[in-house]
Amino acid sequence: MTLLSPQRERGLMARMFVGPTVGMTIRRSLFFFMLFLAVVAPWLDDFAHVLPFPIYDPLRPDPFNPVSPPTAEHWFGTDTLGLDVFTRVLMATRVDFTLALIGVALGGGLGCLAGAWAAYRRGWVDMVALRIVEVLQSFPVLLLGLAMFAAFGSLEIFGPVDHGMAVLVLSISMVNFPLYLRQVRSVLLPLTEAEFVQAAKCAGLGAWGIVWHHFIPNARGQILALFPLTCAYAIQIIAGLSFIGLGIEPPNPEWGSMIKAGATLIVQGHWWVSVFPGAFIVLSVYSLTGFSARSETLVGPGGTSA
Amino acid sequence: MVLAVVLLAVVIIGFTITRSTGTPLYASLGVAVSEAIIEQRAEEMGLNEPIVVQFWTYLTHLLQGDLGVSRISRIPVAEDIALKLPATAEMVFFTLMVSFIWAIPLGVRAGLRPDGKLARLGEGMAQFGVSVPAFWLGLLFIFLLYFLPPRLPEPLGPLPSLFPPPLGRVGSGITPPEMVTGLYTVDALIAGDFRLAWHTLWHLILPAVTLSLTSGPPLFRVTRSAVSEAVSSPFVEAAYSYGLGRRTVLIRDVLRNASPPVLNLAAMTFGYLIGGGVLVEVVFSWPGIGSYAVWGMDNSDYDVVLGVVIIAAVIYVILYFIVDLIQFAMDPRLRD
Repeated sequence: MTLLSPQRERGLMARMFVGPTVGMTIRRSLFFFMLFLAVVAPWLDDFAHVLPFPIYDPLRPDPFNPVSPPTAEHWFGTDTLGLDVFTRVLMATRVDFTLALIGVALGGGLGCLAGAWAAYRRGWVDMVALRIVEVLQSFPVLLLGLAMFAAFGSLEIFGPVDHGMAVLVLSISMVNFPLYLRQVRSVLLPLTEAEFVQAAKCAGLGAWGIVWHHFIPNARGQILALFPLTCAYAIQIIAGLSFIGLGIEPPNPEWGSMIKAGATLIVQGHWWVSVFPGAFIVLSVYSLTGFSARSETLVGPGGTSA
Repeated sequence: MVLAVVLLAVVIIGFTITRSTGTPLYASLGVAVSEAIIEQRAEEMGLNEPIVVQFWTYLTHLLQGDLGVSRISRIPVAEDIALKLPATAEMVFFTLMVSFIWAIPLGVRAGLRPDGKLARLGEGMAQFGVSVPAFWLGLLFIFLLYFLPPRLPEPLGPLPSLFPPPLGRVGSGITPPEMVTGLYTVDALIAGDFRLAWHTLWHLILPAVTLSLTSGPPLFRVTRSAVSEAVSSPFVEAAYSYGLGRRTVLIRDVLRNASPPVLNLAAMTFGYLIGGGVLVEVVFSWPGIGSYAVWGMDNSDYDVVLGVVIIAAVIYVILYFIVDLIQFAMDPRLRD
């Protein structure tokens, strides 16, 4: 069997946007719309006069208007402090997307390198890598996050970076590292004997050179397919940890902590504080999974269950 | 052997993670105590020993079933976990039951008729279940099913809501059944109290449905692919060519051959949810190990967190191992 090193593909952007079905394309458009919101969120305030929706300062309370149901002035209502839920949900998009992206990129990137390295070296390196994967994956995701927060609880080692956010990102990467390692390794394992790898070896390319120039590009398809799914998963984990009060401190907008803030209100019938942030989680996860036709392979046995 | 190595690594990671913190003693004693008292307590708890010695102590205690003592309540963690684990196990067990009711039949149907209405319904539910955060879904259920249904005004007495308030395993003022297995439904049946059994079951439904909707999608999908694979395989064609009826072939060949991966996944789901249902436990005030871990976290009681993390991981790993063994025993092809 002759395996060739892949050529650079064209039209990647177009294929990213247009899915195999109409439904997929709609979901992807939805995602790009949310991404757009996340990017422009901090400047929305400057354009408040031209926007079709009312926008407020996400951190300035309005003591005269607490727990207001959705109205024309406050589309999603206000919470106990009188903060505008609509503005905060939009701002939170930015927070959640950014943290998910950084966490997945960090853990996934390292996982890819380690997976490719394990596939190239085989033998005991591969063995150790697989054991690490097994150990990391035997912790339930949220408990792993909990343990991370227990560990870094009082350590101020991240300097100017927000402490909770840093630990969140670390937890996300701890979860993603084994996912990517396993996937990349299993794709690349048969390549060790491939002719182009042998040729590269003969040409004098070093181990890291082969891993970087020949192995990683060959796993690109898998990595790209995994990426949106893991980001979606990461958003759920971030929201879940924030829901139990870990990560993003309350006055800052974040979907999970907003749901927590509304949890006590919901049994009194004030549903809007919790429902809208949750709906945005559902929308973002749903739109992100639209990038992958096969979503079942990703998330461990328990589903996300975050 | 591999199992032992993995378990040891789990404990080491858990331990280093939770012990690397600064001075957790302030958390239990408050900030307004003198250095001397802190020092004395640290000495008492062995916190001044080198970390390796601490780890050795923890490990040897762990092997004797001792997970340390909660710094807040002063109750041994192992005792607390033993008390709360049945609550979690009961919830997870009923979650699986609910999943078996919707995910497996829909999965079988979807495997047989990939373009049918039920297949699309199942895929829709799976999509929804994957996208929705379980804790939010739980809150939504509480709002829609507990708060929204109208109740009569106060003088007439509140009309009993269809669903119980989301406050734990039994309603307030109701004595839980005498502890035998720790599973309230089973205990109530053992005690012969059917009303109580029904009552505890009623309290289980919302958490179980919530968890099932979010953890069932993989079960649905695996069932679907296993069934569709079995249907299109040569042995099914052979069975048809013998002249066996549809129903016979479905049960004798298709379902039997499709069941191992499904049962495997069901067992893994069980193990995973023991520690993975944390948020749903919190939302429904379910007194399981998940809520216990969150309580420990809120109080910086790290032995509690560590204990729960280790127990959940150990249960998962052991289940994984057992599932492997069962597959090995069931499938002759794996034996060489």
